[in-house]
Amino acid sequence: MPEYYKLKNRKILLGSLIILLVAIFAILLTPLSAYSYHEQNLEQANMRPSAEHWFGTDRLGRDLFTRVGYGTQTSLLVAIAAALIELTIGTIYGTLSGYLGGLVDEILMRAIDILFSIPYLLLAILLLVLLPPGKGTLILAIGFTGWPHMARIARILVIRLKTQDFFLAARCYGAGHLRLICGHMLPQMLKAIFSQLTLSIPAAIYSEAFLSFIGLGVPMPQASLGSLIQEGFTVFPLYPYQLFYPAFVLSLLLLGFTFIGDGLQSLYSRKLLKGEEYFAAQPPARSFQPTGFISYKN
Amino acid sequence: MLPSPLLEVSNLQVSYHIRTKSVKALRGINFSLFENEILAFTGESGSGKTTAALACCGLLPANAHLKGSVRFKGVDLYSVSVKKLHQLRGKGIAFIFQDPQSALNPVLTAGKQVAEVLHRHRGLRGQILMQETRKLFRQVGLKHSHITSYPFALSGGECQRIMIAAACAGNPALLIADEPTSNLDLIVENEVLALLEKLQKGYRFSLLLISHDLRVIARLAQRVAIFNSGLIVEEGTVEQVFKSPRHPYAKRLLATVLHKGAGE
Repeated sequence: MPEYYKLKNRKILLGSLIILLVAIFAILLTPLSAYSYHEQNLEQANMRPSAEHWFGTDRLGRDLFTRVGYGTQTSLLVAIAAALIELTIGTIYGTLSGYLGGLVDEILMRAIDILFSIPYLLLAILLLVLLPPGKGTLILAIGFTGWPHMARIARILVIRLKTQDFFLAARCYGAGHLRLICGHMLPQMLKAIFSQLTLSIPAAIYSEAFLSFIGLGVPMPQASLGSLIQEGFTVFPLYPYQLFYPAFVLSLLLLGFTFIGDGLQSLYSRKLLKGEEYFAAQPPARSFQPTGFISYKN
Repeated sequence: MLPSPLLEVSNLQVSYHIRTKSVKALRGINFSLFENEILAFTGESGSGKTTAALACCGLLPANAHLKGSVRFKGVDLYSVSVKKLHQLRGKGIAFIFQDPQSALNPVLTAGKQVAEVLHRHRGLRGQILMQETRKLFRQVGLKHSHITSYPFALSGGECQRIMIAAACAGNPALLIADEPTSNLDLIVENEVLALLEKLQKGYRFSLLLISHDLRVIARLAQRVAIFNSGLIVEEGTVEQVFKSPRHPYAKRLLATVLHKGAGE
């Protein structure tokens, strides 16, 4: 196996390790807990972390360990599903636009420009207000507002590939449109698309947390990292641990995914093999920057 | 002369629109290619050789504007349906490119790219498809181990052989080779030319060969057409043109080779 595939990149390894640990905590350990996420016990409200309640309890006496684990599950589910929706819509839209070219491309791209000019959160909030609250609504709201980036990347890739000799050669051997797109273009786009996916997942986690924080997330008593942070924030001066745990897990998740995304990006820009030059010249994907993200989206 | 030509191009004019300007690449050319014949195009860069070749299989870029007609087996390529054109390409007309390494898809194995043409034009599947692919690889002088290699792991000569295998997979009536050997060193060039010669005799396709190299033309072609600024300035059998060129440009072109003492 060539050196390239050995996953030498420490960033990717570290990122994967962090995600794995958080996933083990959320998916494997949480169900083993003796408490459920909605079970209230007012006698034990606002307990500090102890052997009985590892992360303490909240103001209604619910076990915070279970709630953080459950919230992580919700956040991960929402983020991954939303990123997959972004990926699907964006890739199809961008590929069509780039492949057809001409007037169709122009119209489709101007439509995206208009979408970009509408504040992203406004659109998401509007969708959340119209639809009943829940995980599905969050997924739709984040997925349907985040795809234009992916569409632009897919379009650029297709336009680049369209002018290359092998594309002409494939046309020349009589390959149909579907075969050209799915057989010849998509395999070459996969790398860039997946590295973009590893950057849209943390962006989606962040959007979910933000929407939950301002009260547009999953309904009570369900929990997500954003709503837990919001609850913890209200009692922060008295019980800082209630804010600390969900915020810590959120940070870990963002860090892990961003590490993987950055690592993949830098892997692609390395020319280890001759054939990799194709991928090296591809446009850099949007990198995830939480601070710029907030100001942009507001 | 044979009664009906395989490919008949009459008064072909092509211009490229670049922003507001229009550049004439071909200014009315006529030629025909008969079955089992090898015709060579030569001439300087930008004289319209490649444009003429691309026009012969309907692969001109989107900004090209075309007048005149290209008839393949009596069918006008620019008035048939897209579906028919897709069928014609590969099965009727195949194309070999100048730079084989960029003409192969870098993320598909060599075998897959050849098999794709076999599947598309002969409807082969499964075991038979594998057998035919192996047969083609043998024919073009590649090892079986090359079937699972990716293009970047192969040399230029090996890639060109794969292109030739893919071209022959559709069993075409016409093969257009656009400077098939200009990126290869002399020994590999010799091998590839010998291969083309052998396959042409075996498959009995007509070959439209584009080349700068007059030695290559002298070796393979029966007839030659010399291009200059979008026109065919001289056309005839290789012997006739090479021995007694009439057009001043043709004279100059041939003089370059004679000076070096190479070629006939």
